[in-house]
This record gives sequence, structure tokens and C-alpha cells, in this order.
Amino acid sequence: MIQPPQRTYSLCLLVILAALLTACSSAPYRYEPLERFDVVQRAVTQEQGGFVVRASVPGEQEAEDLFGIPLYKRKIQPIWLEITNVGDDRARVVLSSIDREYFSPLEVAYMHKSNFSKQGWMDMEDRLHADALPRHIGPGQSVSGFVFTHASKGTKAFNLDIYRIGKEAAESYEQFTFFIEVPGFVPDHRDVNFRQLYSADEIRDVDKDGLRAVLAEVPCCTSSQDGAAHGRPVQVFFVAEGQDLLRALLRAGWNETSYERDKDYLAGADYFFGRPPDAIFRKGRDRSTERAELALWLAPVRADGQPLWVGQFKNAIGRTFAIGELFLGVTLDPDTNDGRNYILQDMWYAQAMRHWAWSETGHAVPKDAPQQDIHGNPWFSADAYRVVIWISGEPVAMADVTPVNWDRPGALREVKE
Amino acid sequence: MRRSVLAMRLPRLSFPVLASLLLLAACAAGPEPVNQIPEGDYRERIQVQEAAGLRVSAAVPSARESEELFGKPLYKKGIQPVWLKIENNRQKSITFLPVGLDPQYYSPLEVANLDEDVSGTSRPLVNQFFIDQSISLVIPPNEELSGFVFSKLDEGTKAFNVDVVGEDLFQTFTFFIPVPGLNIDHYSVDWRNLYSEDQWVELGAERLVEEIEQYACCVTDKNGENTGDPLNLILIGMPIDIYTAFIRADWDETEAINRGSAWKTFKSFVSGGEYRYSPVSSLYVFGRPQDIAFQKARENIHERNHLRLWMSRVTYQGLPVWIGQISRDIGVRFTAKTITTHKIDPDVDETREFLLENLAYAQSLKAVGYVGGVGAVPKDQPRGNLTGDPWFTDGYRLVLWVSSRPTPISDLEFLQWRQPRDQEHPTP
Repeated sequence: MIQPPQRTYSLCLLVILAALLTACSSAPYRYEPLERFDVVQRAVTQEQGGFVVRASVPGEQEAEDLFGIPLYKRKIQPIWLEITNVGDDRARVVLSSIDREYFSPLEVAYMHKSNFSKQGWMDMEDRLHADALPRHIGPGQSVSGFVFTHASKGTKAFNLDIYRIGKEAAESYEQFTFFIEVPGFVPDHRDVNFRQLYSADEIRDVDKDGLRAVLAEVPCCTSSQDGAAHGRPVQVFFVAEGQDLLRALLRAGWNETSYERDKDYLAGADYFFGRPPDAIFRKGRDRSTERAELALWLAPVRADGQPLWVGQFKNAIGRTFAIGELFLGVTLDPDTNDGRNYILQDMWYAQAMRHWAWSETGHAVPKDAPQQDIHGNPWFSADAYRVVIWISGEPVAMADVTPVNWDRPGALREVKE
Repeated sequence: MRRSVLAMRLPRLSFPVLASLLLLAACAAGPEPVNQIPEGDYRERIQVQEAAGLRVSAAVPSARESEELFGKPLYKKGIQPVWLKIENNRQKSITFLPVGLDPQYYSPLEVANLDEDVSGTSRPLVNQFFIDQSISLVIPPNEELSGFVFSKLDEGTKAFNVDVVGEDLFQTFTFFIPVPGLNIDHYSVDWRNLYSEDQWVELGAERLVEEIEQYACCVTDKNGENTGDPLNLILIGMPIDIYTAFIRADWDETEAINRGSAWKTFKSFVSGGEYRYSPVSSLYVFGRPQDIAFQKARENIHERNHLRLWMSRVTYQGLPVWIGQISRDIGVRFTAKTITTHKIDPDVDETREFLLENLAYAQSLKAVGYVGGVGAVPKDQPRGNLTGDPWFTDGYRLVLWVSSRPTPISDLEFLQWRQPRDQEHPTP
């Protein structure tokens, strides 16, 4: 019979652990040079306004070998950049445009100092300091180095701003946006062959008015795998090229996921168009609890030549001890309109939205008569609207977003007396 | 912030931690509490702004007031209700965007279900009260709506935007609302009487640069005997401009040291959690401790930036000139003298340049430049601060002319005063 662990055992364990830690701390600092990896070879290049920028993101194992420290385990992700200043002005790179709370090189070294002897720590400091991306670039110069950012899952999306010193306001800076694939992570949507989801004659081509009619027919809700149970409502439609939608979501801080579509996943998933989501994205209030989930399905519809996507937003509330990789067993916000309103604003602030519209479904689900989803969780939708969002490939200033005046909801929540 | 509680706590409840509790408790008999904003009815602290046919009123209930209003200790859960009334005097509907107030605001039912046991199969609480208290998004013409937005907690001063969109309209209202409950250090500074009438001196640019390059390189201890961190910042602006600029850039104010703040500091030290307003130790310039301190918390108390400012007797274009010091805490370490202290990033120029980016992106700067005065300290021959941490620098002070009105980065002026050599002739 298994005995519960006793106090002496845990004490022993502590002693061993302490001994191990002391033993580790005499280790010298070792790392592999950048040339051993294809980090530079696979860099993505962008050229703009007299700057040539190459960017690459080492994967978890590469980063550990490159720096001799398990950076990803401490939620640190290095980005390699090479910036060439072709112009005649001095230039300054804004590191915090890449990550507002980037880690400084000596901070990264301090976080890992217990792995090494004192000399090892100093060697690590020298290496990280020397390999950091410089901020200042003279005319005609080229600089390269690493910036230490917070790790994110999946495709790494980041901005980079470079200023010209002494230039007039209008031409003072260049803004870059990068989306870089990171080795060691395959997002779920990569497993879906979007071209073969529908045959040519299945796809309906419609204009804006036609779209309005089509959307009114789209079923309210997802269903369970066997179709027996009704799920939660789909509250959002996107009109977007897949790549633009992906970039919009990444820019808005959503993370890709890599669910394995195994038996358990399929049994618990929400189904639409007879299949589980084509892609699931997640987002959280802080880095350790990702509580919002957006599931997407490609629809057999093209609106003015652009694909239509159906979206379902879920927000976990209350206690989420066992959140794991799946949203099973977690209590969801029953008010599905809050999530819909959030997505609308989210795309607005991500400057990813060209137009939006409200699409009436005709049937509200009042909160005192809620429905149940496939896992028995209640939901309601006090108004009878879904939101339609036209995504832009280029950033759209918030003031330039225009509504499409289809259906005009009231206050989107009962107006109080 | 969730983390493995056991894994984090076990090693930390060590003797030095307990000893530091005693030390902090000893501090508790220190300075008297400073001025406080009275608590009571948050509606007595409403601020109003008007523009473009819109009238927005806003108020922020304190911790106690929020608990009375909602029957839950919202502040303890990191949630702060913000009360808004939006009056639409335009001809068309407008939409209020709470994401502009807080990108990750809490939904009313999320707040209602706090601490309710809703795990497993039990149903979430559909709480009509919370739904009623929240504010709607769309406001029809000539109507007004009011209610609460549930946002992430900011004690001290709550800074937020109220964004409203409509046809040909995008209007932002920025509010800075002091919230009762903290003893903020700068509430108690009598700015007008820091210097007597005949001590103030107005200087032109050239004399100003000469004057501030002569200021001491570094902070000192109370007796002025030992020198510490380099004074690598010069700020230009009225106290209110500085306050607004830093709050806009997401810096937190700092509580004066008293019994309550010492206890909160200790709690966050043990748990590794946030106490964003914890008092900072006194460093000395002009024979007195800092006039204002700000801090910017990152993931936990051990990782934050600290900034201290002292108002000088000099004015430039009628605005006070300040000298200051910034450091980035990169961890905590044990010392013989103070038991624990924050380890600072030895590369203080890195931290200085971070501040420039941070304030510029918060649209808080009117102009920027450099002056000398610290003296170069090479990396391989670092100097030490008062707790023995090494630091090195190119020797320049960053000049930040702050602006209380948002200023786009493209309008940022460069003061052609001095230029760090490494920036003029960077080595690739």
C-alpha cells in the first residue's frame, strides 16, 4: 500500500535539491555561435523608407543552444534583427515598439545566474550585452543583434519602429510589422486544407445585399459531434482573406493553438458545417490564464470575392482550475452578447476593421429563459443581433471605420429605467 | 497572476524573509501619514468633460465604496468599477467602446460570479443587479446612459480614456481621477515653499546646461557621505505635467512609508505578488529625500522600474527643472546591511533609453535632449550604488521636457544641447 509521503522525505528532498543547486552553480557558461543555426538564413526581409530589416525568431531548442539558457522556460523569446540604414540620416530603433516590456540583456543574465559559477555569470552578461541589438544606427551602417521579448505561442507578431534623427515630423519614422513562424509549433489551421473544404459549385458568390440575406439564414448555433445537442450561438462573421484575418487576430493579441484533433477533442468540440473549428485562437488577461477563445469556420460563401468566416466567442468566468488545453468543465459567461461586443471593439482597436454591420437573427434568448449548450452550460442573448466585420489587410485608423447600415439595434442591452 | 503557489512560496519563507518583516515593522513607527482624499460617496468626486456634443461624467469608487456598492471586495480581486454617464446631444446614435477604457475589461457576469462556486456543472449566477449596473454601448441621440465599467485595478490615480465613436466622430476623453485609500507621497509636498522667493532662478538654455552639468553626479545617503546611483535624468515641467505624463505612461504613484504600506510591502514580498505602490527608500539630493517617486511594476515586485525626482531651484521658460534617477530592478538579493534589496540593471543607460521610449510613446513629451554631468563610467570599471550594486554609463543625462497634453511623437523636438558620442558615431 502506498504510504503518504512523510516529512523526513521532503526534508531529504530539500537537502538534495539544495546540494544539486550548489553543484550546478559552479558550471561555466557555454553557448553555441549563431552560425551553427539557420536563424539568419531563414530571416524574413522587409524594406521600407531607406531601411532594410531582416528578422528571425529562434525556436525553443535553438534559443537554449544559442544562449546556453532555457529562455522559453522563463517565458522569454529572443528575436534576431538586422537593420541596415541605407539613408543619410542617423537612425534610432525603438526597442519598446517590439515589446513594451522587453527584457534588458543583463536582466536576462541575472534571471539565469544561479545556473552558473560567478565567472560563468559574468561571461553570460558579456555575451548577452554584446549580442543585444544596438539602438543607434549611423547613415550607411548596418547593425544586428537580439531583443528579448515575452514569449508567445505560435506565429510571432511584432512591430518595429525606427526613427530618423533630425528629420521633419512628416518623414520622421518608419513602422514595420512582422509575422514570423517559429520552429517547433504547428498551429491548428495549418492542418486544414482550406482549398478542399468546398467544391467550386458549393460556394455561393454574393454581393453586400446578398450577404445580408445569406447571413440571416446561417444557423444560430453550433452543435455536438453527433448533432443531437445544440451548442452556443455563433455571434461573429468576418469577411476576410484568411491571411488578413490571421494577421488581424495576431495583431489584436490572440494566440494560435495547436490542439490535437483526437477522439476526446472531437467528442467535446463544437461543430458547425458538420465539422469542428478550422482554427481556435486564445487570449488572456495575463500570460498565465488565457480565458477567451475564438473558434472559426470557413463558410461556403464569398462576399464580393472575399471568404466569409463564422466565429464563436467564449469567455471563461469564475473558477478555472482545470482549464487545461480545452474549454471543457469550465464555466462560461452566459451573456453571449458581451463577447460579441468585445470582438467588435477588439478588431477596431487593432486597426484591423474596415466596416462593420449588425445582422438580425430574429430570435432573442432572454436571460430568464436561457438555453443550454452541448456541455449543459446556460447561455442567453438578450438582443437578436450578430456582428459582421470586414477585415482590412492594411491598418485602418479608428476614425476611418464606417458602419454598413443594415439592421439598427437599440442600446444592445436593455436600457435601464 | 496565477502561478504554482506552493512552488513559489516554499523557498521564500526563509529566515531572511522573516527578518525583513521585523525590519519593516520597525519602520512602521516612522513618518506620520500624509493627506488623504476623503472617502464617502464617490458621486461627490465626479469629473465632467464636454466636447463634440457629448458630455461625459466619470467617478471611481474606492475599495470601501466599491465593496459597499457591489457587496464584494472587488479591489481585493484586482477589479475596479468606473462609473460613467454619457450624454449624447448629437443628432445620431453614438457607440461607447469600453475596450478603450480597459482592453481587457471584465464582463458584468464575470464580476458577479467572482468567488461563487461555479466550477464543475453548477450554473453561473445570472445576476440582474450586475447586469443593471453595467453601461450599454449604443447611446441613441439626445439620450444619456450611465453605469459601471469593470476594469483592472489602479489605485492612487485612475487614468483612463472614454472613447466614443459615431458617424464622422471619434472622440477620446482622458480622465485622471484620484482614488481615496492610498497615502501618495507627492500629496504632502508643499511645492510653492520648497524654495524661498529669492532662491528661484530662471535660466536660458546655455546657462541651464552649464548649471545642470554641475549638479552632483549621483544621489547620496542621508548624511551626504556616500554616493549611489547616477542622476541621469533632467525633467522640465510643472508638477502637474510630470504627474500627468507619468500616469499616462502607466507609471504608478508611490505611497509614503507608514504602517499600512509596510505591511502591504511585506505581503507582496512573500507572495511575489504585486504591490504597485510600495514606498521606495529615500535617496538624497539637495540635502533632502526625493520629492516624487514613481514605479512601473512588471510581473512582480522584484521586477520594476523606480524613478525618483527632485525639484531644483532653476526654472527654464518659467517651468521648474528637476533632476532625477531611474533604475530597473532585475531581481532581489540579500545584503548584510539591509537584508534584502533590489538588484538593479548595471546598464543604467539602457534603462534611461527605455524611459525615453516609454514617455514618447505615451505622447507625454514635448522635447528631448542630452546634457553631461554624470561622467563616463566604463563597463569594465563600474561604480557602485549605496547597496553595492554596480553600474556603468556613457555619462549623459537625458533631458525630458514633459507635456501634460498628448503630443504625437512626430511633433517631438530634439534639443541640440549635447550629443552622446556613441549615438553620434555608433559602432555597428
